[in-house]
Amino acid sequence: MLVYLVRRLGQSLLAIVAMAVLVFAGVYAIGNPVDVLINPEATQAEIAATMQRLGLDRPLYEQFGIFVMNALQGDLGTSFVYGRPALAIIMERLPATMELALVALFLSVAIGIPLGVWAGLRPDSIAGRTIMGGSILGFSLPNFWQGMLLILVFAVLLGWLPAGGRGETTEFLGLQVSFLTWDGLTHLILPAINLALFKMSLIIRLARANTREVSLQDYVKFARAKGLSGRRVVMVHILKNIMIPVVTIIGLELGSMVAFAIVTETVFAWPGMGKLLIDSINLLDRPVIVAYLMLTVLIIVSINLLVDVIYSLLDPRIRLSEMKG
Amino acid sequence: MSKLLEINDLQTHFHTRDGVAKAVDGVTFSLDRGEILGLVGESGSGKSVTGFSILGLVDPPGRIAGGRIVFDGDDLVAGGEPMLRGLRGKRIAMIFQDPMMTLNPVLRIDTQMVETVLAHERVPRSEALARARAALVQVGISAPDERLRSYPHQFSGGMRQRVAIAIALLHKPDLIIADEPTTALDVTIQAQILSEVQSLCAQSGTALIWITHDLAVVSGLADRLAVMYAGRIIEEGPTASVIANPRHPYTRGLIDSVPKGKQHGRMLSQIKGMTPSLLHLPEGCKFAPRCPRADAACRSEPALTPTGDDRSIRCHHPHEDAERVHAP
Amino acid sequence: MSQTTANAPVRVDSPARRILRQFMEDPVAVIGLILFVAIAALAIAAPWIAPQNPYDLTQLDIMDSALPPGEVSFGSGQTYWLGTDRQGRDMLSGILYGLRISLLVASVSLGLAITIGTIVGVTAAYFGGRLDSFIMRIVDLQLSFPAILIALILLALLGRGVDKVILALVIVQWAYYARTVRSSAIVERRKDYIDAARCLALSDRRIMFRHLLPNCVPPLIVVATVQIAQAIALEATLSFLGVGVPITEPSLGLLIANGYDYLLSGSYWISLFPGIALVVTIVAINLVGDRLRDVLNPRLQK
Repeated sequence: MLVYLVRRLGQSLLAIVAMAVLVFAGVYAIGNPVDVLINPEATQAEIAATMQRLGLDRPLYEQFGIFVMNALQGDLGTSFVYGRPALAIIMERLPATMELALVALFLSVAIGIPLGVWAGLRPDSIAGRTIMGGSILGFSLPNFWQGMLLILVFAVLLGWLPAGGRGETTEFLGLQVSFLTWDGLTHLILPAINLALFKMSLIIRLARANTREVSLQDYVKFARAKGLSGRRVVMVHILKNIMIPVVTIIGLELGSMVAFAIVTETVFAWPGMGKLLIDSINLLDRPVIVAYLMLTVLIIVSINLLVDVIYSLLDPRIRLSEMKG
Repeated sequence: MSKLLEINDLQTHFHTRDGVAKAVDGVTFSLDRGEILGLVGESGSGKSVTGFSILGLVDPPGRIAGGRIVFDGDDLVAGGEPMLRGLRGKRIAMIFQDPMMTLNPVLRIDTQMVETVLAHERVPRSEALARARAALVQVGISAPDERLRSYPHQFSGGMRQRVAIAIALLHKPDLIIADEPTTALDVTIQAQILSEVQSLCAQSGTALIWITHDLAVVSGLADRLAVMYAGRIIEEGPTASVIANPRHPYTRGLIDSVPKGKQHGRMLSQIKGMTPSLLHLPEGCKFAPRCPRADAACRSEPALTPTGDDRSIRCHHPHEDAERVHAP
Repeated sequence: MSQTTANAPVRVDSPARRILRQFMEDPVAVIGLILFVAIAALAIAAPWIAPQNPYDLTQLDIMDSALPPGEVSFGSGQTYWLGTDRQGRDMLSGILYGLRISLLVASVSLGLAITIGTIVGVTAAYFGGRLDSFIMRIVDLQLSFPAILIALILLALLGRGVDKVILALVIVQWAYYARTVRSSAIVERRKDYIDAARCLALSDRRIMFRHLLPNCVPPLIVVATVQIAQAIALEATLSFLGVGVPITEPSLGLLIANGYDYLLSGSYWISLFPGIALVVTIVAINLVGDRLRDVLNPRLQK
């Protein structure tokens, strides 16, 4: 297990280094870093000072070293717009995005798995077909378009829920969260559903396909032949088997949720780091873009690592073969 | 004393896109307590479906379309799922064909055994665990405590089948249905499992339905034989009598196609033709197209007819009693 | 490929016919196919069938700004069946032209990504060893990051433009094809006849493209239908976010974005109709793709 963990950790580090090289290449090697990293309105003296600080007058490999050293110390540049360290600005927005992504993930799992298992157990029933039809729709409707429809129906036509913003927040474990205040919760519902729908469709389809496959297995029939209740057969024998692929996908999709939050945050004006990214792109605030990219890569790689560890805990076969390997 | 199991005119049909496949079409047989029945047939003859029908475990699109399955006085077809669930694993247990597939790969052996105990009896977990351990010892598994904490993939095929048998024995059932439980195993393991099941059943007085395509396997095990073809029983009787003197041409063909020592150097006879598709069965006798003795009379379906010596045959032109024609 | 067809015996078309027949058995998929063909035809024919050229400013009348569907123009007397936008542009024409750009971007990027992915995938499978594991490392690395993130970053660095969107889509998509092609080709690669062909000293290129590639086509088609729907949605999303196509060549996504601000004030049609066009297109492709996956999946064949 330890060998496996260490090797997996090595792979993750490799991924981060690879992305760092790509970002560095994109910013320093392809573009002109002076344009990219230094505020166009800076004075000549400021430009000279920044160039020296970033080592832009040195050879490329030394520049990369400085970039990495700065990044390791959390210095990913200074925002042109806010005049503060880019990473700090992003970190302020991180809780809002993580709250949105986690609530959406919770919704997609809590609704998606039961629906998918149901559709998988009764693939030819009306309910099963309806669930599948709905999931094709959830799959096909682009995220931003779903969000706009939600706003159109629930905010504009019905007026039940606010169309955007985060609402009132309160402190929870030292972070500002929305879901604990009534106002915050009403603001959270639509964006969370929006972000959840696509993943929910994905989980429904995956859970359904796996349920169908698993329920045809001999061990499910054997479990029934042992006289177990239908409930135990589904909740233990089927569910535990489908959880392996489902957890993998859920984990990988949490990363993509952080990315897709860019769209939802833009549609619902949710003040997270995705909205910040789009604003920064429009304002050409490149240090913030770089910082966003590096932080997101770090988050996604960490999630992938975590998923693999959970995966190996869930599936005894993997655990064994990896331990041997 | 009444029979333990009486099956009367069982019909199990599969509704497919291309039509209704009558996998089991009018099967009738009965079983005494402690008796061992060998249910023999080629794949597709309906022998496994018959076994699953008894436990109500036929998966859609299959369903029991008619007939009665009376177990110890209760009609299982009429009783439905609640009655069946109480019986499954408790009074009627089942052993499956492929031991690699019957144990859930993500659950430990103790979980899979304890849940079987707890499904039918309200006992403390520790007691259930003790019974699981005892059952493993009974089937000859060494280091049972360690084995209980293992996952199925850490076992060999023969060991897994022993675990499955141990699970079947947990509640000392009245009847075990064994669906080709040795087919997937090595020959040496086959023999071991076979003799173990035989002695375990004899000890506890458990009746056994041993489903197989291999006459040689059951001939030394079963008290009675029932031979199935195209969803029907075509010959039934005491094992020794059927083996020594097969009267249905199909049974005779099956027995003649088993190699025997004294036939060394001669060609094995075989049954010509192929097993018919259940969707396109011939009119009348289903075996007629492959039968050397078929004539115009075989265009009507023969009934399963008792012949008086505790045997029944479904044939218009059975071989004569004691007639023995050797294959050329 | 054309050579294969010419040399092949006549019954080679029977798998294709079987696939077609099985495909046709599902009425929903057939409706999807008909819809998609109709949409593609509309997009191609847009310049000839659209009531006006939405980019020709001389044809626009600011008096016709934000008219609801069914209103008649104040100037030309033309009926705006789907209303007009803020500039007085006919939405129907805007949608037809937008559809054209959306489909153009998606299909060009699809073609390029398939070509690159196929070459890389077949090469990896054929040569195996270090080259294979190196290529697959890159593929896995890329696929572990969400497509939208990669595309967004590329466009943030490159700037807007139809060509840049296509480039971004190719970069995010090639890896899917490379992986698909490699996994089918590697199964085929292990078969004896490939070794036989090598013993005959057939050229590597000939073995790769005449023997390995044809076996990769069915899974490639399945992945391509999924990916083209994804590409259309991704392009629309990028354009909606303001990093995709430029304002001068609006795709459906940009049309939706343009109308977004008016959505809350009640001029729903500016955003809604391009959105419906986009959704119908994607749903149609997904319906076809779902059926193709069933028909082409050897595991589901009996």
